[in-house]
Amino acid sequence: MKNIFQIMRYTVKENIRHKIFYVLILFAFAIIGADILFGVLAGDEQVRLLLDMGMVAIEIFGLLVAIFVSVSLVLEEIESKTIYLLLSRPIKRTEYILGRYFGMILTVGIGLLIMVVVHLGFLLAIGWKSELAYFYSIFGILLKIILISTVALFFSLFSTSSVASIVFTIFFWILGYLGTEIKFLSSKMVNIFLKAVIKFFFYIIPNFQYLNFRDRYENIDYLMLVPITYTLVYSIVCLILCSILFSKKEF
Amino acid sequence: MNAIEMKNLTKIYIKKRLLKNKKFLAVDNLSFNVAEGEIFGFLGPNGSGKTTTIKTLLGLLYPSAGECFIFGEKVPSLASLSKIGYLPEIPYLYKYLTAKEILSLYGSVSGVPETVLVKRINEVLETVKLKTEKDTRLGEFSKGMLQRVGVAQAIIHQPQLLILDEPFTGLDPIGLKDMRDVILKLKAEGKTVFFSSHIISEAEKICSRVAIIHKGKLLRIVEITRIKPGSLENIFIDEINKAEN
Repeated sequence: MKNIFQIMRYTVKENIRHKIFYVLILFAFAIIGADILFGVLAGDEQVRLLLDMGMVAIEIFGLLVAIFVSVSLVLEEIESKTIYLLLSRPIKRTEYILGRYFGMILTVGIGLLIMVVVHLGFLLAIGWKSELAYFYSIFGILLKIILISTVALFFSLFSTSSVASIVFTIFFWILGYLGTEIKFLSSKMVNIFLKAVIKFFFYIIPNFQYLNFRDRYENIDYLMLVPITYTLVYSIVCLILCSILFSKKEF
Repeated sequence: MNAIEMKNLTKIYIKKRLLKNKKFLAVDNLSFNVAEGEIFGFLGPNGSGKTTTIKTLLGLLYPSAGECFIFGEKVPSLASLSKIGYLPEIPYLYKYLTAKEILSLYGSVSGVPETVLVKRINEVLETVKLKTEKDTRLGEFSKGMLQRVGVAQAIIHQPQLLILDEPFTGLDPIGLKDMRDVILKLKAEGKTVFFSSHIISEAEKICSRVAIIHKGKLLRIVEITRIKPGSLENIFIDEINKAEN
């Protein structure tokens, strides 16, 4: 546990001192730009537009940061060989993977929090009245980030190229929004083999429909048992696979 | 007890190709022991399998055949790793951490108790003469300073065995002397030092025994006290030439 905490701590330092805040500055500018633009164009709908556009931006930025950070989480350490000095210490490889993973989730979580604070600042400044649904929607985004991060980490350990890992993860990310369509497609298939393949995909891709509270803003089911359980189970299975892959890796 | 025991260690790299995998024999049936408390040199030309052997001892590579033991503990295991301090050829360190932060990380994951960690960090920074730069990020360090941080991280947890990969490569004369002094000081403290090198003169100055390897095979083990001073280089070249022919 102590080792996981130590590795998590340096992962957070690494990310904060290097990458994530450039993206956040970019986000802050995007929000300011959007605010000025929609203030001019939207008239009475300014609040609604800034609310929706802001949440979309938070989700896209959050997921992109999560994908890029997760993919480089271990690959970069292997390329720079800094991993030698950690793995030649008495730490389990699973501890290393968990420390890096939780450090990354924490960093992206801090980034998400900063983005939400900026967004809320603008919303309140133009007269938006705080709604519980907003915070649930943001929580849904956090769960999606956790899911996509484990997928990205898995692909980064599976392949040796960061480009291939990013492409695979983005492919899964897009499919994650098409769960219902994939299920419908499999039910319409006559060919048993194709049906099985599509069904298999339906089960292995992360199903973002469970976490998409943003799309059901007016009608959120506030009982979070299913989304949280789904995220936990999916992430744990992914992390177990990551540990197995990593334990067999040579450097 | 032997610090290192190697029994028929073999490592074959397999490069995966579409049609037929390509195999490369990097270490071939290597067997030798390193006694506790000695300085042991592991000599060989570039590409002779020195780093592969070291990586196997550290659990970074898995042996294809044979086995190794560190103070009786089978490699790879957490018990064997807890007894090792490792200095790689190039100090692969996190550039965004300060000297103090990196030593705190490595000390902590190596089992140094939190209560003595700060004291221990100050001690090793004193040893490698970097106390005034402890809060500087490693990205701002020169090559020589990074090498000294490398030494500090290897000894932070007071390991019984030091494994140093090419510790003399790229050092200036003062750096060479400092490194030699550090190794001799470790021996005086009762530690075992195992280092790889192709700088024969340095090995002859400090080792009690050296192993000469070539193309993954052990050619000879030389006891320094039994040879004429200054003759190790000729012995090394003779052995390599014999193996080539």
